[in-house]
Amino acid sequence: MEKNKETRDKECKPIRDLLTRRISEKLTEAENSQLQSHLASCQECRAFQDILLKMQDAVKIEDRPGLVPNPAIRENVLRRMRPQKHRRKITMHNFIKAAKRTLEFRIPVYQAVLSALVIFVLAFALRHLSPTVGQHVNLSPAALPNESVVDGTPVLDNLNIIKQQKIGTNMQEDSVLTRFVVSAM
Amino acid sequence: MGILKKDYRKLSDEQLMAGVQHSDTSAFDELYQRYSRRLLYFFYRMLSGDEEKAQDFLQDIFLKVVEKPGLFQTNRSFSTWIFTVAHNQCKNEYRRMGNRSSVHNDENLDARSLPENSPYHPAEEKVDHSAFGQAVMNELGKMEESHRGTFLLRFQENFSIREISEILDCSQGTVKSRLFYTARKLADKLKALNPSNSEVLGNGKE
Repeated sequence: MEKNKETRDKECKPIRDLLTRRISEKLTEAENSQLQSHLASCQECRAFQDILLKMQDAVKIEDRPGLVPNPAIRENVLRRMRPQKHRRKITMHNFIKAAKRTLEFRIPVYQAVLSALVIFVLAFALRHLSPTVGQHVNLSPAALPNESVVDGTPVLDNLNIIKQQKIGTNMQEDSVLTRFVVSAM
Repeated sequence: MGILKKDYRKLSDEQLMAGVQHSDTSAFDELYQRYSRRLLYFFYRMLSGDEEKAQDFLQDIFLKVVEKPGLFQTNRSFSTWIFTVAHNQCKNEYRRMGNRSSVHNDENLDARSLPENSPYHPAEEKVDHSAFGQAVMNELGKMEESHRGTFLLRFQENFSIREISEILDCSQGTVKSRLFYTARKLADKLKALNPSNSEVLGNGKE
């Protein structure tokens, strides 16, 4: 009986070493198969394996009533939090960091800025590329009435739309687009 | 302005810490939410169940975070950094106490020791996981601080071997051998308490 126990211990010890080693590292295929074949026939080693697994589960954070961080800790710490005193220097590094932070906003500011830019460009184009009431426009000689051209040179090369009453006399009828097209002719 | 508010829950620990470095209280709140309970349990177990001291240590570590945020290097992982600080706090405490073994005799641990009529008595078949957990913590409390810390970091906090070696400032081989030693010793101590083991104790091979 005593000899049996000794023999058994000799066989089980390396297996238990393998089981314990498996906690922190991967075993080789040969070691795994050695383990499986032994576990299939040894109840003691299976029980040992069971303890190892239960032990690992036992240290996981369980919901222990009463063991929660003291709420006063958060308040105390926040009170000691230093207020921001100095503005950061404007450097390329800080600029890139600020740009990255901006991208984390729920509504990205860069989209808003781009939209504003597009609106501004459109408004600028409308303002400067289309004539408005009282605005002087340069017309090509071909666009001018015959009597305005003497020897191929426009008499009125700087046409006042209102004074000549060629266009823009009725603002309700003259759309911005019409005036734009006429001015481009 | 509300629509421009950042969603702190989506930020990484390192990004939150960068916020704390600029006195962002919301970033601190989120970090506190993520780590306070984990750290409290770590301290509680490292300090052998001394809850009052664990709460003090928790306050100290968060004070360090807000008062000296520059100690954290943003190229490091926040979780390994904070647990390095936590582990050093515990090490200093052991050093202050002078005798590490005095921790083993902590009265809180004794109170949580397994009673004579434990549910793990071989005659009992029913498994009481909380009592088993207490027995594990009790045995773990008797271990050396470095072994206990390694075991908790691995199985309570799920850190990898590499991360633990970084936290404890030792080689990965040392971490593995500490884990091996601790697990083996615990398993040997606890096998008599495992009800599923009771049938086979002394029976050997089938």
